[in-house]
Amino acid sequence: MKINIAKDYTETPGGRTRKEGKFSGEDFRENILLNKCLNAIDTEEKIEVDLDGGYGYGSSFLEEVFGGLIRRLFDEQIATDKIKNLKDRIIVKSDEEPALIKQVYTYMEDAMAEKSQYEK
Amino acid sequence: MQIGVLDIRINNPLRKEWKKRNDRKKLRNRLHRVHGKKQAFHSKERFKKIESFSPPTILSVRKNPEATIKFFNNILEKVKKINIMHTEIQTYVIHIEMQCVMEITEDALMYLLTIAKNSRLRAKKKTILWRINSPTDKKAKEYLQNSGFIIFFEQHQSIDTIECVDNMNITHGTNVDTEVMKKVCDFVKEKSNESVSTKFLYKMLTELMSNTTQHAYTNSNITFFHSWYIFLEKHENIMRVTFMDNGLGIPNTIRKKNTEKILKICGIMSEHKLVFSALKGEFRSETKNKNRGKGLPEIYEPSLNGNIKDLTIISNKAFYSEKNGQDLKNSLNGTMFYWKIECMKGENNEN
Repeated sequence: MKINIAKDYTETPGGRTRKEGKFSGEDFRENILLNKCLNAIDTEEKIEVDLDGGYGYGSSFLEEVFGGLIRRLFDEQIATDKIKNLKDRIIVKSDEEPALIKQVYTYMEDAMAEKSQYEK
Repeated sequence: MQIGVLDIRINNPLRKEWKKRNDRKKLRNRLHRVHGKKQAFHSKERFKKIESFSPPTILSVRKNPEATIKFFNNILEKVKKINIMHTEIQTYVIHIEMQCVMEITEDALMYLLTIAKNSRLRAKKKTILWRINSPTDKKAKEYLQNSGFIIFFEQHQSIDTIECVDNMNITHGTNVDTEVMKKVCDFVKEKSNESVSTKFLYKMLTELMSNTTQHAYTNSNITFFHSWYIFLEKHENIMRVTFMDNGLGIPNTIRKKNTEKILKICGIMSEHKLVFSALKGEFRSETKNKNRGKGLPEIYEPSLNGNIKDLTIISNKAFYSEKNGQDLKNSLNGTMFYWKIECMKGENNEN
């Protein structure tokens, strides 16, 4: 399953939350990414998120999308193993700004570590 | 018979007097309708007071911070007083005597703009008019005219209608406005002949707007309206960007350690060190969430990468620039970010 944020959502991503304005990370996660991820938990499908083509991404947008996704899945009471498994199946692509790939994985790792610690 | 009676009535001096009074009354009512408020009829001269202010010769927040901020704060103080004063004077004219000014920079114009905008919106019962005369210095005069500020102040327009020359752009907003960010990036691309990649600029603007929306304004801050302002200027091969808000300021909104809190209460906390610490990414988020506090490092990063030059941040008393940091005596109402982007043709500014 492939998602290109610029083509499937917007070329001009905004801030973190819906309160801050249009095209926020929260909005993208809730309207597009979350449903696809919930489906992929059962189907064990890979999800490729392509960041190329847009004007740019603020760290708050990316953190809310990817870090927020992990937190949201924990809130949905999905088993930690399944979340870990899904996280490994999320592939981030960014030819224009390769540094973003590492950044996104760090956000997911941090959210995972924080939530796992909390669960214990 | 009836015509004769009418003639007598028309020529009656008492009727003439009544007619005169009645005409005046009609005129007064008409003026009330046109202006929508009663004071429009009163003699303007009788109810008008002029307050004059002389700026420093170098009117620049980043080049001459102490004198410039002090000058603007004096105006701000007067505006605040005007709004709470109970006098019969309804119209105040704030006159800025620019003759002596030798140099003006965009950051000073931004600060003046925010003060003027807020004074107009806040002054509900009184009218505050702004007058600016031209500097005698040719360059300063030309700069002021090109920015469209003289007409803006003379004709009391809104910020949206400021008509500056082709190489300048002024915009403002409240939220994280993706449309504005797109326009700013397109403006920079167009003026640099597509030689600049604007991805880092888009990131910076996202974080700046996001910070303003989340932290800068709270209910306790009622002096200024919730807004941010962007001023862009292309000068030779340099794009100058100024971003400003009139919020609480970084030193007041970032998370402080207990010792820092005590030092701040005592008035001996170094504000520029707090700002620098937040730029470096030390855990300073007001929300106390570990996933937050990434905005200021994101703004600082292009300065380390060399994508932007001369990053200068002035927030309350904190003054941070690439060359030095210091605490000012006078406090800026809000936060101002200034940086330069080199627009050399063919240069690759990609991360």
